[in-house]
Amino acid sequence: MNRHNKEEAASGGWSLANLLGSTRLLYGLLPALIILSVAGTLVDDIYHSVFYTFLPALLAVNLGLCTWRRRPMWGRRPDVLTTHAGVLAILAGGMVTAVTGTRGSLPLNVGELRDHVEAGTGSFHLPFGVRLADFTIERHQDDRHRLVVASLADGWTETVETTAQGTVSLRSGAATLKVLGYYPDFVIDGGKAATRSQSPNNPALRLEVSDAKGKEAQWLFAKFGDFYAAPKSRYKVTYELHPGRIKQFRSDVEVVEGGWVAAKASLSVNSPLRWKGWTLYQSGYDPDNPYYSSLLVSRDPGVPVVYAGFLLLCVGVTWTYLRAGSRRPAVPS
Amino acid sequence: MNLTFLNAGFAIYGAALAVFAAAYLAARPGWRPAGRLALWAAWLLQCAFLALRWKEAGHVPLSNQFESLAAMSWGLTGTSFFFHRKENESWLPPGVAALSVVSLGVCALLDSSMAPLVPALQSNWLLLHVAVIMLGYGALALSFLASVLILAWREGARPGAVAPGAQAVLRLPEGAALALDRFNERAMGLGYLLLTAGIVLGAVWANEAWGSYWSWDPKETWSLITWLVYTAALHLRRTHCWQGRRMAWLSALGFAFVLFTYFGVNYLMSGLHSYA
Repeated sequence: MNRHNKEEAASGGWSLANLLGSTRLLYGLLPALIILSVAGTLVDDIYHSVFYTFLPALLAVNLGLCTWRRRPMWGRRPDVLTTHAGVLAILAGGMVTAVTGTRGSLPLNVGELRDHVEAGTGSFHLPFGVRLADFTIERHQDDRHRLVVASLADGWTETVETTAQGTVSLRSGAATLKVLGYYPDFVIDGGKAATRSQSPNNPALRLEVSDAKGKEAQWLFAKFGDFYAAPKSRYKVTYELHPGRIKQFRSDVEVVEGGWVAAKASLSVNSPLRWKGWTLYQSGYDPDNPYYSSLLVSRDPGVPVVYAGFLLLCVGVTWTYLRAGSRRPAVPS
Repeated sequence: MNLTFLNAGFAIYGAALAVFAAAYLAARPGWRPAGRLALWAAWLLQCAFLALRWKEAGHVPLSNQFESLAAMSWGLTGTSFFFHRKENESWLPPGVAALSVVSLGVCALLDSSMAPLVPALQSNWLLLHVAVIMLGYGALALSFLASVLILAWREGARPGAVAPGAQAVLRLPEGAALALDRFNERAMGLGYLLLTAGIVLGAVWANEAWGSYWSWDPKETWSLITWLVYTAALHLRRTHCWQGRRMAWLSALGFAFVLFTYFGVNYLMSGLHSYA
């Protein structure tokens, strides 16, 4: 019988308090948590079930009682006390989050002011309004403009890639393609071709095709392949735009209180805005609507408690490791 | 991206392993320093590879599985130097050479292309979170290595009974099983410490990026499961004096969870860590 078993046996047999504060219960709870956690990665919604929530609560009771019953050891093993206090604080903070935390989605269009947050099946109002002043999507500079060229006379087809200002020759040498203009968000403005924004909402190319018989210019639209067809063209060119990978998406927001702009901030992933206990996160966008941004709004009083637990846990575990290193058990030589 | 340094490191780890194997089989302990020198050379080549990739990519090379595994292998060897200085375990350099050959061999099967960072990864937390976790995995791999040797060791067998020349080459003293057991605890303790810190750093980062410190994402959940397994193992060790083969089995079990968290989750489950 080792020291812990002796202590548990000496502390009064199998009363409920002894059982709840025993390491035997811990060694039952840990495998149960492991098995249920594994099951939770295979079955939906197990982590928010009453049964799963009960286990960490029981673990907290077990750890708390176990630590309390070993009060005489606190002076000798402050590292263990710190570690246990850290785990207890994390579990307590998690409970505070579950009970008092509030979060929801705030979908906004550019120029729109809202304080109404959608939260699951319900909703709530923020104590301030949020206006989306602007929304931008930054991309890495590797947009790919793909052109599929079909010769109507000879029947061949060839695919090439070009840039927004590029000139490219077909591998067969039959023709050269020159981009005369790129309009990511094509509109007719005053009877002339123009672009409304730099977002690829209606990508269009003005393309010049030259071959031995001469030159001809065409309009190409990535989203409307047959919208404009050059009636006497020798070539049918299909335009595909493959936008570059998203670099960052950013919402410029204004916090409005009492009709006045109280704060301005630029939100992006990893860069939230904190305002009066609430945190606003950049959470999503619509690739087909460059004027739409989805923010996540959260208020979580459990976070400071959990962070305090994190700190205690890390200090405790480090302390225990260093203590274990400083005592060198005798190894037969 | 030029993989010359990494490939050269892989080859030299292989050469180091061959030197250690030859020293063992031919009972020539005098060859071992050459193997240790080769380990250092391979590790320095890995340093050069990671530094160049960091410079070329413009971000810390921890953004996909290829890069993190290369970093984990680097961390594993580096951690073994730390342990070797302190413990002077003769089995450690050949074991690390074998693990490095395996990990860099797996690296060679992964996509090594460089890609720009997705918005969620554009943060200094990437370096802190992933590097600490990978160093932790490296230390836990060393613990696993010790546990394999403990389990392979026949109870009561003298070192010389393992194979001809074993006693001379491995220089395993009496009580080697105890020393291995102690090493198992030390490496597991360090790995547990780093795993704890890595999970905590990831939770803080998640709260900054996603608005929640815990989302029950498969990677998060399996990290927690792994942490619970090692928590139970170290608790049994320190409060119930588990040691030897029982601890070795727990260490091996824990490392199986590490492998699933690192590889299995990426290929079998999707979630917030799908880019990892």
